[in-house]
Amino acid sequence: MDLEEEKILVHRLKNGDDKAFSVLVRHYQNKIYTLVFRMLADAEEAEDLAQDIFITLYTSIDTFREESRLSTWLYRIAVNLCRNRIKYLSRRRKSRAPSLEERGDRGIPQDAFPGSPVLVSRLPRPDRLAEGHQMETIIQQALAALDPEQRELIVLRDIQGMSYSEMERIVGLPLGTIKSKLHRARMSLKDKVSKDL
Amino acid sequence: MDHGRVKELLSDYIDGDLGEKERQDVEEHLERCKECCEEFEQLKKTVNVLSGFQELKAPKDFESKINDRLKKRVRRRDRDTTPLSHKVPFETICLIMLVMLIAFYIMLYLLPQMTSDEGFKQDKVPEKKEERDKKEEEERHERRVYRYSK
Repeated sequence: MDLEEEKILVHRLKNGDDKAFSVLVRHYQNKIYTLVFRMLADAEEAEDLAQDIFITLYTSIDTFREESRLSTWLYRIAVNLCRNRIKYLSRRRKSRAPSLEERGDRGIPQDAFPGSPVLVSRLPRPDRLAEGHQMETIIQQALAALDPEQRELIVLRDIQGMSYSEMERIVGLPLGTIKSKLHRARMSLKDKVSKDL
Repeated sequence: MDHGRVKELLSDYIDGDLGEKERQDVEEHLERCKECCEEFEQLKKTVNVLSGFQELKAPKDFESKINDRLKKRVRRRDRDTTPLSHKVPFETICLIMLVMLIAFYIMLYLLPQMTSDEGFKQDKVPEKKEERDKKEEEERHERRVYRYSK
């Protein structure tokens, strides 16, 4: 979607055109769902939060001043809502530790989303995994164990493939800080997976 | 270039963000140092796997669920802002108004009439029949005495 097309859709949405909203949802839904799933490592929570992000886009579009790309604004909403949800989930897990069965129920079948990683809470037997997929599983598992801020930087840079300038606008940190934090995040992820790779 | 400095630059080296001089220094160090080279290979492999992660597909009913949730929000907002007459049937409102009118009429007209009746007043206790008869007898007696005295 080019800048001009995006601007037209934003204006249509601001004027109450629901079809413009549908176009934007269809364009960004996979990207946003992927980001949220990689951050939360829980399919059910990821779907719910991804919906929240688009509902926020719809209800807050009037506050979008068009000083940045819509995608940047949308990712900023996504990152902020992810941070809040992670805090909420960690508080909830502290007060109520779910049983293994319960955690398993929240996972998704591997064939539900082609190409999706296996959830941390529900790992299939290693003999059923191809080597490439097994590495992905190991790294996804280690990623979920990282500090949320480190996970956020890795997801944005290495999985979503964002540029550093986009990341600056989304996470609100200076370039040098992002680079040094990302380096530490990558190193700590590497340390977690090095014996398995 | 020492090990610590090289390790600090590994991420930038992988991203291709180093200047020409620093890149050459890192490459020379990696050729000589087995430990740093192993670390670099592991880091590169990790980053490569991450960048190979496929984009996931949102569930099929994702958009329709968003629309359902938005409709519910709109309905809830409308319910909170609609006037009372839209939420409660007109007949019910009329009935309530009628009951209130009757209650108002009773309070305003009927109740004062009932309370003004002597039987309901606390400070005017009706005299007992015997006392009344005795009084009347005394009055008759006084009238008789008065007549005879004339």
